[in-house]
Amino acid sequence: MGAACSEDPGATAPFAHVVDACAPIALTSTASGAELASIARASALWTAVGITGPGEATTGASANVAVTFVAAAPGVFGFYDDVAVTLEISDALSDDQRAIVIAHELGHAFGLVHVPPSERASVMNAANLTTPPTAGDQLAVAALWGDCANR
Amino acid sequence: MRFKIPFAVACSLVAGSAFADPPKPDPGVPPLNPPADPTAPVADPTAPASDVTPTPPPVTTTTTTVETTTPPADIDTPPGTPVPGIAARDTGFVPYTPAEAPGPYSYAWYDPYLASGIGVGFTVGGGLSGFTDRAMRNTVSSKVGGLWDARASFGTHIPLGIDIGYIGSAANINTINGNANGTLVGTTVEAALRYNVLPHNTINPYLFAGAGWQRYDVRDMHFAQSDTGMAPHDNVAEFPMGAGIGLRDLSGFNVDLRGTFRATTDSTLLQEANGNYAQLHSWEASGSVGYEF
Repeated sequence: MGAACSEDPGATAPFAHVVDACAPIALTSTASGAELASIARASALWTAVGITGPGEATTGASANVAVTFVAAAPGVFGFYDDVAVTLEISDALSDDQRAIVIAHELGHAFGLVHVPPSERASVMNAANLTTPPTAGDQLAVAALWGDCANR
Repeated sequence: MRFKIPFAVACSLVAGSAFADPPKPDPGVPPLNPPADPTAPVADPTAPASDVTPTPPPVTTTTTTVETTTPPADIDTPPGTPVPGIAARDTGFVPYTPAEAPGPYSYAWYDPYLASGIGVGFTVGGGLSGFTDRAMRNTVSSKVGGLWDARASFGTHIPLGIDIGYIGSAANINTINGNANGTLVGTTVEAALRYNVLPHNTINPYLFAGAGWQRYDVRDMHFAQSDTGMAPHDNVAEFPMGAGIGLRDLSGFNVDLRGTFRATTDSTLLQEANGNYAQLHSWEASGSVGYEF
């Protein structure tokens, strides 16, 4: 069970719990090897667009987000458990896909919802396995949590 | 040798002869209305009513057909000998000949014992179904799901008929860790041409093929917080084909068992990690009961 979860800042956001994208977040997992490396890659993808929370050191974290790798149906890549504040990631993905899916589920943990591909390319496109966080995603996070650089 | 003369012609013939010449009874044929016997006793009008047996008034019988019988020329009929067939002329009774029922192996296009003449039936039932695509099979919680159907059939007792059906299905969706998370609800409306192998037999095997529309909806799934290749819904064209067997009795009650394969057009309901979309081809084994007329 994750600790220190923020209240949902969006009136229409569907999540029971979300985490501050700019505050230090502890990404914990029992995984090892390539799976553990993909968690670090996902954090780096968000940091690259100015979302600093996932990339912070685990000490002094404002929130814990657990990451587990599990068997999933063929069309299911990842799932954000908004009650347990856990990212559940399919164990059938490639390394690149796994990093994108972790970044996608982290977006849900920040309070983001799916973005239709027809609207813009986004890490939050449904069934996304290729698009990393974009500048548009940074703006969407900033709309919820403010600009991380100025906090 | 017998001739059937239409009623109007017969009447004009009889009337014409009656007015042109006095009737000349055939000596060999008893008269239809023999003249009153002048020597017969006359009822006493003063007699007590209780002693008088009411005499019904003479009844004139009109027949719609008149049979005339001409004895064969080579048969010498002695005077006074009744000619066969004349008695039938007097009764006015036309025997009912039931319509001939098609035999069990007939391919007749009409069945006189059915109100519809062709066989119209309605059935409701249920059964089992499943996807043939491995990705879809692994997405739903069970390899075999349930279905329910309602069907109207037109032409169950003729060689070719039409089936119009509705089929509903539901299956739990597995997402993560084998946990059921959502329901895949299918709705199908289809029409099929049906070839009845033994249309007039009590047990009728049949083949069918057709086309229809199929929609799948994903319900109660947490799409807002998952990354999945499963779309909320999808519509496809589908082409059912299969075989069945109908069992019916004279009351109209019928039982229908069928197996169906449904081929569908390409679907975007489920995208796998390799980028391919799963196919929605499916199979069905079902039974239904109903009534036909």
